[in-house]
Amino acid sequence: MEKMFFIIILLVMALVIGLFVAIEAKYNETRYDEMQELARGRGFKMGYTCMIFVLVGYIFYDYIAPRSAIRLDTPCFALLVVMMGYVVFEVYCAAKNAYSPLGHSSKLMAITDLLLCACCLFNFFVSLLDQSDYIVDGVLVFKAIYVQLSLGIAFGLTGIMLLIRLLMNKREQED
Amino acid sequence: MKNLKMKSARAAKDLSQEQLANICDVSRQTINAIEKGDYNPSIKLCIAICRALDKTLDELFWGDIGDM
Repeated sequence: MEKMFFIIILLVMALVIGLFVAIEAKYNETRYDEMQELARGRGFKMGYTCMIFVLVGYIFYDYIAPRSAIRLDTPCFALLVVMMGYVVFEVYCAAKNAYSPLGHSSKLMAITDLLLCACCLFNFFVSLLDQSDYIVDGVLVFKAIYVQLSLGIAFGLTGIMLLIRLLMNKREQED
Repeated sequence: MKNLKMKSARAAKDLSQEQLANICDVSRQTINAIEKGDYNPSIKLCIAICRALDKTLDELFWGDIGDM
């Protein structure tokens, strides 16, 4: 019964995502900025390449590092790989002026990112005090608060990059 | 290669980069990148810019052989 419920939830999620993509493709096709789309495509490529490098790098580290060296457990490693790809994508997009869709305020996006970063890091440090045993038998064990930390880093980096880009654009406009 | 023809045509029309971007439905940064020669626009965007500035494709985007 529980297995059936899980499959139904997965199917519903797939249906909702499919509907969202179909609606987006139908109604948002004509309004896009081609330079931004190009930069996002390159950003995806760079993010993907970065994920591959992290994967290969960690496998190499795991192979050559002595037994006493700290290693990551599977969820920690998955989180690290995904966050690296995401951060590279976002920072590249911000650097190439592809951060906000047409008609969106980039200043508001930067402020939102920095606020979210502050919230995530605050939550991480508060939770950090209550927990212990991060490393068990030389393996960095996954804790839910690492998600807060990685989100904080990701939002912080993209927020800072957006602010730098906004300042550069302002100077460009003044020239 | 900077697109000075487009920049002067825009100035002649008394349009800012932001205004031209709004007419062509792209971001200001895209117009800026085209004028600076950092980005090659698609033919669709070239036509939109030409229409907005009342110019032909030749006048705005056909450079001298020495410029290419």
